Amino acid sequence: MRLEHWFYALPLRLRSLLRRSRVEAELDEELRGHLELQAQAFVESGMNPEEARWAAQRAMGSVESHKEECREARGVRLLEEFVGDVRYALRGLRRNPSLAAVVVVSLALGIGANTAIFSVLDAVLLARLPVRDPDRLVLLTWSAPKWPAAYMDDLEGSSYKTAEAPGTTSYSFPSTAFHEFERRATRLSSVVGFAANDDHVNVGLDGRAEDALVQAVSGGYFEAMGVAPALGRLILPADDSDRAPPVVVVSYRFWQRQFGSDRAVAGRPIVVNGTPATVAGVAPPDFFGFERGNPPDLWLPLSVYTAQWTRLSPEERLDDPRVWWMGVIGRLKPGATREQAAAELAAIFSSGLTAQPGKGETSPAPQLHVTPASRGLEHLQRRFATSLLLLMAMVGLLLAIACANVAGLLLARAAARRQEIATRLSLGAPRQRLVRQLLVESTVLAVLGGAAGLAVAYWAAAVLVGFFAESRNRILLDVRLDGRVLLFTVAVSVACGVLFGLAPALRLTRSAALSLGPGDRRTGIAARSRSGKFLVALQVGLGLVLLVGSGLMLGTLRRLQTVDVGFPRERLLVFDVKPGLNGYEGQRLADYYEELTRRVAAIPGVESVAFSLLGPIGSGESSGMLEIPGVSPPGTRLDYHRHIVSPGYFGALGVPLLAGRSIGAQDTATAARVAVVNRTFVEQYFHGTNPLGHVLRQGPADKPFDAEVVGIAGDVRYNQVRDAAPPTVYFSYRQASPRPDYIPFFMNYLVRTKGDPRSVQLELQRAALSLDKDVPLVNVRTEEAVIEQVLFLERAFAWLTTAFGAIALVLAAVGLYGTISYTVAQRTREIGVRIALGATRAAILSWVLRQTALVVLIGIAGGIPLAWAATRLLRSHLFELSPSDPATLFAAVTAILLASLAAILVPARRATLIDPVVALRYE
Amino acid sequence: MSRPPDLVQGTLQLLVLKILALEAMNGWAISQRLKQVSGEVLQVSDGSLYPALHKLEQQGFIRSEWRPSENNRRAKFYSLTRLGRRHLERESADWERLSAAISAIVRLNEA
Repeated sequence: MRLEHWFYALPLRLRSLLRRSRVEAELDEELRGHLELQAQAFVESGMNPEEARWAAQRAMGSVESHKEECREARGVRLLEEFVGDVRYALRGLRRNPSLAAVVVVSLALGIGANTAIFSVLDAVLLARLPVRDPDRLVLLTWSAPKWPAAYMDDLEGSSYKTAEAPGTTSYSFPSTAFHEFERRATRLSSVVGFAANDDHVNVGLDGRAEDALVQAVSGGYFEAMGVAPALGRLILPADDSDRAPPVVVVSYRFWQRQFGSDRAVAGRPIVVNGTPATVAGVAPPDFFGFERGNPPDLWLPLSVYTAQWTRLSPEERLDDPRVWWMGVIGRLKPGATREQAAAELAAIFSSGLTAQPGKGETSPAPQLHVTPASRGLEHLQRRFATSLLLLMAMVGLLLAIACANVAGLLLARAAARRQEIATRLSLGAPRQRLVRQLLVESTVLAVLGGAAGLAVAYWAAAVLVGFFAESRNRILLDVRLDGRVLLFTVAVSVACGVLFGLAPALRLTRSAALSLGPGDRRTGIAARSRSGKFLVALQVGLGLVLLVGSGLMLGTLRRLQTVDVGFPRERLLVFDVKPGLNGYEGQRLADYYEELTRRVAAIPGVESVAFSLLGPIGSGESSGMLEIPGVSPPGTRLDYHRHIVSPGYFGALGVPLLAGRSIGAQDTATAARVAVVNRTFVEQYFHGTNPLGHVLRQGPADKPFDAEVVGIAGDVRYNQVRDAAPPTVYFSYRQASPRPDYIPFFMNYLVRTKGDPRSVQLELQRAALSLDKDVPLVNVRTEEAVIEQVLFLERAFAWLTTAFGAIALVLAAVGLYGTISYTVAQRTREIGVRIALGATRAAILSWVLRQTALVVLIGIAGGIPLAWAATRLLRSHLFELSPSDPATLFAAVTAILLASLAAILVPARRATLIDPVVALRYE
Repeated sequence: MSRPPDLVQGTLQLLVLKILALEAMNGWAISQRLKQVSGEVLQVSDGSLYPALHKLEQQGFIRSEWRPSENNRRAKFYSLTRLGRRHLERESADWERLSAAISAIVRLNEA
């Protein structure tokens, strides 16, 4: 119909829908009026009134069938019937609320878990950067089969392993390479650089000190990203110069939090690590830079960053081609391909590389790669890809279990309604009409399940985001529920509901009219009961897979939580101080550290105190290469992990000293440089010979940086709980640098307490403020909390898999309960006969148990090989636990057996209590 | 003609529209008029008129309102809408063309 037709038709249709009884009354009146007028006409033409009425009636024909035709003409009949079907379906659900509840809850869990996990997966793995045309962005990386020591002294940022290139991959380049790329690249419309390290800075605002995450970028960064400021302006090329006044751009979140959403923020002063600067503007709300989950609070021009770096670490120059610290991102010119850009940039890169003699000449030159950067730096992707895909697979299993559960229940109901359907068919209900009604019932269930699923998804996604936010790196995710997955999961569950709710009904409606009598109910029941049992076995099998998975993850978490990290983690408080940011340096800085140590040690309740550059676990890592003259083969360098520590460190941390002496107060800047190595270092590099007295050599050949081994300490895990202790070397913080007066500008303190570590927290702050009121203690936390944070992924995984396993177990138990109840109900007569013939209650009970055992054992038998295959995928997540750990498998099987027993308790009892007299009258 | 009922239906619609083009009428009056004009050629039972009227109303060709009728009871009176008038003109023209063509063919065969 055309628009104009609707203009007339729409009000009529709405009226027939909404004022149905009125419309019906009018139809009646109209037809009656016709009969009266016709009769009157006949009377006028000479008939008697009685005759006239009959004649008028005859001329009209069947009033009811004409009414029906008129209703048909209204065109809303389908809709009316649909509304009726929905009402009928809802009434049916109210009559049988437990079935409805189980179906809706099953669907809600299946749909909700899938939607939530996929939404997080989408936010972490798939979502693209919110910048202009992200597909044209490329990230420059290099890879080398061995650490390229000949070309680089220091790498700032991160290096990692990828599947594409052997050895090490990193995106940190020297600034010299960046300038060459910028000057000579012809395939890129823009080349922008950023500091590969993300740094925390002290920000001063109106006299308050705040901690902020800063990202330093080259002047063309925001222009190349194509983002528009929310307020003020962004960093411009002119800002990235030593002569330009320092400016910062603040993130939207920082602007809301620290500036109270002040619209006049542009031009306000801000102090960054003691350097006064001006706020230029505010970045748009959804912009987070290149790294998802780790949004900076501030963006600075590289010129400001370089100036601050030079002030804090003067011995290392950022324009040195051997210091690799800059990430480089480019935008492909229209028409240019990634391959063309790679060929050109690789040539530029290798022409700038020069190997320095005496520094591992054997290391091959790094190779340049140009990788797509539409998703940013992909740190999160690398860290969480396998975990999220595994979780996705698990919720997929959960959906399968939920569908099997729904299918089983609807199958049972369809069989139970055989009688009703047969009756309606034989009373003349059109078959198509019945099918439509059954379809509506399944759809109503699916819609309710979908709605509940949406609620579950919202909640679950919030929990997941919370897990990420609690991690050590405070990963902040912006997760939006994914409509596609919601639709997909709803479609899958509707399909399975329709398939299992409708198919048996269809089969029944074809034959049911013929078989109204109670005689031949057996065949249908046998078929239904077979597929019902198969569905329960399937649930048991899939549930076993999830249970084994969750058992393994729980076992892993427990082992990680209790593994010996090399020191007692109880009663240990850690915190950071950064007096270097307040201008302390050299001897003054050392005095500060020593004095703070003395004041903290004097607090009642404190047992011992020490400090180190990096905290014991979960504070990052620092590594280097050294030679051991006379021990290591000449020309090869050995990897080691470094700790820069204060006197008394081993005592405070509780690390046993195995030989020699520890680092003490005598190891000052002017004393001979000493080192303590750990047991693994001795085993790997000294092969068990006595290391004491040997020299560890680093630095360039003309200016060696030597230290004498004076002690051996016990092994302590380094940064990660999961990894065994690496070869580790401890140096005194006074002797850590080739420059004698250099002292690191921040330190991590360890405070061993006598009682609850949190009880001294207040006194600690007071001690620090009494020393210098402008140097705050930051990040005060217990080491136990730190380790929990380090284990966040394992904890999240263990929680989620346990939740999935528990849900699967409950669903399987419900399915089993339904099936066995149904079997018992259908066989009431048979059981009655048996009891009448002298079967004991025990025999009946064992019959029910046999029915159950068969289904459950088939499920377990199928589930074990499935679990064996599936848990291989978990291997990388496990810790000191084999994927086919027998204890875990045993526990999972036991859980299923116990749940099965609980599930059949009620139907089994019902079976044994059947009264033969009642049962024989049952049908 | 494979579907005579459609033809009859279409013809009935056309006739009803034509009748209503002159003045608004109630269903009974329309049925009287139909008998009058078509005589024995079109057998339309009184009852099947109403579904046709309701359908025309749904299509927007006619509209209805309740008014007092000859016997002092109220009756539903149908009248043509603008859309219906246009439809009638178009359909009449089509009908003229079609019947002219058929007449020509029939005469050709006779010759």
